[in-house]
Amino acid sequence: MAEQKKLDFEQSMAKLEKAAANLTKEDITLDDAIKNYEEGIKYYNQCNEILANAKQKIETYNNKLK
Amino acid sequence: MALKPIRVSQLNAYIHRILQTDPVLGNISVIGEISNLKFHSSGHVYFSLKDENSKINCFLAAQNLAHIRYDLEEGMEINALGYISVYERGGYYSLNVRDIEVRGEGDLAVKFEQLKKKLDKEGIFDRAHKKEIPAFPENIAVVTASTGAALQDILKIVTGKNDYVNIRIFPVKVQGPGAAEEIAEAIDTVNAEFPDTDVMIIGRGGGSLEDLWAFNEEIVARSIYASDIPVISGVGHEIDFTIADMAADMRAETPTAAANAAVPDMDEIKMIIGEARDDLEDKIGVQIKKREDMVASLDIGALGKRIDERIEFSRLKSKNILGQMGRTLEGMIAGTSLKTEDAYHRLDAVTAVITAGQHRADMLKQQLDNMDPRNIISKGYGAILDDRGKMITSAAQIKEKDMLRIVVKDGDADVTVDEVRRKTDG
Repeated sequence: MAEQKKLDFEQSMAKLEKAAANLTKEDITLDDAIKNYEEGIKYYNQCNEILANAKQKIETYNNKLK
Repeated sequence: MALKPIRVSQLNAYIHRILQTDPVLGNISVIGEISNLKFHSSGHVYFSLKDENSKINCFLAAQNLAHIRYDLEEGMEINALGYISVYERGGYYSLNVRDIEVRGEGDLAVKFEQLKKKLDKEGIFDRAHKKEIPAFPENIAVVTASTGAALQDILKIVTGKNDYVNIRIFPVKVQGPGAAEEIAEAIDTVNAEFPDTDVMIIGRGGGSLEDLWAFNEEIVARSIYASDIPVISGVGHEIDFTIADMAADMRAETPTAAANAAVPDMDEIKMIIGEARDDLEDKIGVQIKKREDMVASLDIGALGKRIDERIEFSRLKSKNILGQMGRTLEGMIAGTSLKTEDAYHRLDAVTAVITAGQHRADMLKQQLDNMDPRNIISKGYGAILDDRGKMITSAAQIKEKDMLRIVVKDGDADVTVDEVRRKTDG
């Protein structure tokens, strides 16, 4: 579960950055530019959503109790 | 008082017996520096032990070498424990070494240097093996003493800057017998049972070299090296440099610094995401602006089109005029009783007018054609546009470093101005 979520955040962040990077391409068409922009915004929203759902846990694993 | 002469072998045998039975020489510890160190292929070791004034040959048998904890080196200050033995056939004596203690920098420092050298040779500290610390960890593990200040420092830092990451604490002994084994085992356990851990902090607060020693043990270094999870070490203070530090993927100066390095500041993350969004907005803005500029620079084409239309219009107009004139003339011819000769005369006059009109129309077309930028361009001229797509007609419009666009008949090019040379008046 946590693994899945983590991929989501890092991927979302990476894709947000990638979308922005794509927008600097010299030969990008207007359609692609708009598509990249919209994707970027989508990933931006995903990142925010993940952060908004933060539920920190602090646990102690005592080896001797196992 | 001299005894009767004896043979050399008798003398050496006698000396041998004397030296061997001497209580001091039979079990002696000698301080000195190793020189002329030779490892024989038989496994035995030969060297000299010397001080400023004197030296003695030493022999270390292979079976004794096996249980000596140090790698012997030239120049090493040692205590050599053994007994004096005599080589009767050669007539010399040497120190037969049973055990060696290293002096000088102290036992631990020497052990440290030796382990460091050994692990370094094995590639345990190789930069290429080091794993990157993830930018956005989901779960971190902390391997340290449950009662130490280090744990409190780490928790304070992590929770202070990051309300997202889960913290898994693995309490271990960090000093004394068995500490190194517990630390190593905890590192192995995190890897085996909590593989979704993104980064691991191992460490402890400050202490003496002896207190920190567990982090200089080989077993800990090997567990760190074997860990698939990136390890940040934070042991003692800034000045403390342990084997664990060298084996770790990242060395932090203190447990607090390790905690800081392990997790990002959530406010910063939120800012970075916000900046990424702004960046996206900026870039789409640039793309749209670029399109606007392109449309603006297409004015040349638009202008050409307008000229075409004007030519076509004047052509139509002149055609109409001519047609009308022709029809009028025909009407005149048909509908009047003018003499044919007179009529033909008039016709000639009208034709001349028509021809003159047509000529004017052709002239006009020619003039307009000459003005069509596309025709100019097709002759090998180019147009220079500024960044808003406006034509450059004067050097006064150009500055150094300006980005300009050159349009030629089959394409365009973006250029940067190196130097501007304006013609001065007079």
